[in-house]
Amino acid sequence: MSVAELARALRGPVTLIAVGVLFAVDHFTPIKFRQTWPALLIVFGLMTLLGREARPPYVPPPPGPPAGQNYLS
Amino acid sequence: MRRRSIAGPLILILLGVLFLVYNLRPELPISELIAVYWPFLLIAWGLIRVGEVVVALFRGEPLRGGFSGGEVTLIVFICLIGSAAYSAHRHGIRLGVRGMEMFGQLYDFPVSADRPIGAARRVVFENRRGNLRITGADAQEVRVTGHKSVRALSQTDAERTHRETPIEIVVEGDTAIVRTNQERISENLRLGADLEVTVPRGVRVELRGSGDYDVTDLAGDVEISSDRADVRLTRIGGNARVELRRSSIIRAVDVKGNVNLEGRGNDIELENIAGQVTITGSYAGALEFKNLSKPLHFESQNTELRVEALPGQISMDLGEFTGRNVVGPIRLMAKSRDVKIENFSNALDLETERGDIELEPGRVPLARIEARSRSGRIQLTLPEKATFQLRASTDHGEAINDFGPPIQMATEGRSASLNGQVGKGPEIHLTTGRGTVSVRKAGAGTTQAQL
Repeated sequence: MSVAELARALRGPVTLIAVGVLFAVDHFTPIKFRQTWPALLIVFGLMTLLGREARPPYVPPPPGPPAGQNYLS
Repeated sequence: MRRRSIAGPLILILLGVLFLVYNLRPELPISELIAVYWPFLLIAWGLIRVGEVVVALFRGEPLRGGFSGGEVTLIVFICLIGSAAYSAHRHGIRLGVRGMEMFGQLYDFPVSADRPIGAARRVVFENRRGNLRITGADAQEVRVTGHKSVRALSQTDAERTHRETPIEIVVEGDTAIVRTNQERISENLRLGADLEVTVPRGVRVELRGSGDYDVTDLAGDVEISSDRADVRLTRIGGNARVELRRSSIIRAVDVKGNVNLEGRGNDIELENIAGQVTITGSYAGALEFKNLSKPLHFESQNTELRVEALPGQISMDLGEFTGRNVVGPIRLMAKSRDVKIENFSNALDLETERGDIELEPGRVPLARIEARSRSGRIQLTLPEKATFQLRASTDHGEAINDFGPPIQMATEGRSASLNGQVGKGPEIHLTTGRGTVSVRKAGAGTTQAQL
């Protein structure tokens, strides 16, 4: 169970909570949603970034013919 | 099969409970609570999903926390509806789901009260919802009769509401207050009081609440401020001041003082007003003014009108302006209206963006006339004996002249102009961007003076 997998699973719920918090802040403080909405992009972006880290490890492409030869001939 | 989240069913249950409570106990402010606290529903939903992810983590089950398309749609809808409900709530608009008011029955209770008000010169009415018909009489007391209607599920509930909202007449210093105490119960309870009231003729009357207001035969001032009201004033000796957020009609007839209207509404009818008339705000319906002895000033988002007096009549709506027998100087800025003014005196300054203009001063000597339209024809009909200096032009259109040689016509490309002088008289400027500009003689050609 990696951090990345957890981050991917939590991305939706955390974004939803952020939406709720921003609207609550809008209703109960003078700070308005139209000012704070970019925070949603940040939260969503961060969660996506954390989720990306543990993609399947990089597999190099199968080796082709030696490059130098083709180039010279 | 993958496990479904428990959030969906929980939200369904919550909605069911809220609607049930709203139906069974309408006095609880459920709709206000929802309008303000709905973001916590999203937070709770998110927390439930986080909890489920954590549980799955400990059980070693596969993690899934993503939302399905349906859920995302639902969330977006909740946000939209919630925001709308919240802004409606903040601006004081009451959201009632119409079907829900059908629950319960309407119970009627007769009410009455009377009380001498002694030296009080001011009577204030506080009736949140209901119609008021107020009549001035030669009396020393305020007398109220009428009925209260309560929507409730049972007779007992209705009677309790009735008891909680007694009608009172309180005298404090020079003020008498007639109140129906509807504030004591929740706004969700359907309750209204329709009252017929007689007051001593000389008092000043102030009305607050919403309903139809009818005030007749009063020597003092009338002041109305309301979220929503239809107003009819007849035979008022003092000033009338009406501030409304919404109305379908405001009507005032035979007012000796000034009339001051502010806010939004639909129709306005003013007749026989001896004082100044000032109207600001936006009124979307038909406006009729008849026989105003003092200046009229009307100002809305796209109209400005000033006249010195109106022995005749002005009617206007969003598309048309018609004036007959108007004392100037007149100033009218009308965005997109056809304008027709007949029989007016003194200077006229008129501007429209889109719309035809028809002017017929109908009397000599003329006064200065200035009429501009961005798009629309301008027709000026003058008495045969009129003397004036004319400068008229159109950028796209033709020019018509009934006054013959003293007026020179010039055309250039698509534009045309009329310049000249007939006798010695005031300046007349007519300018249009597109349309025919014509100067006609009354009685000649196609137009007839209708005086």
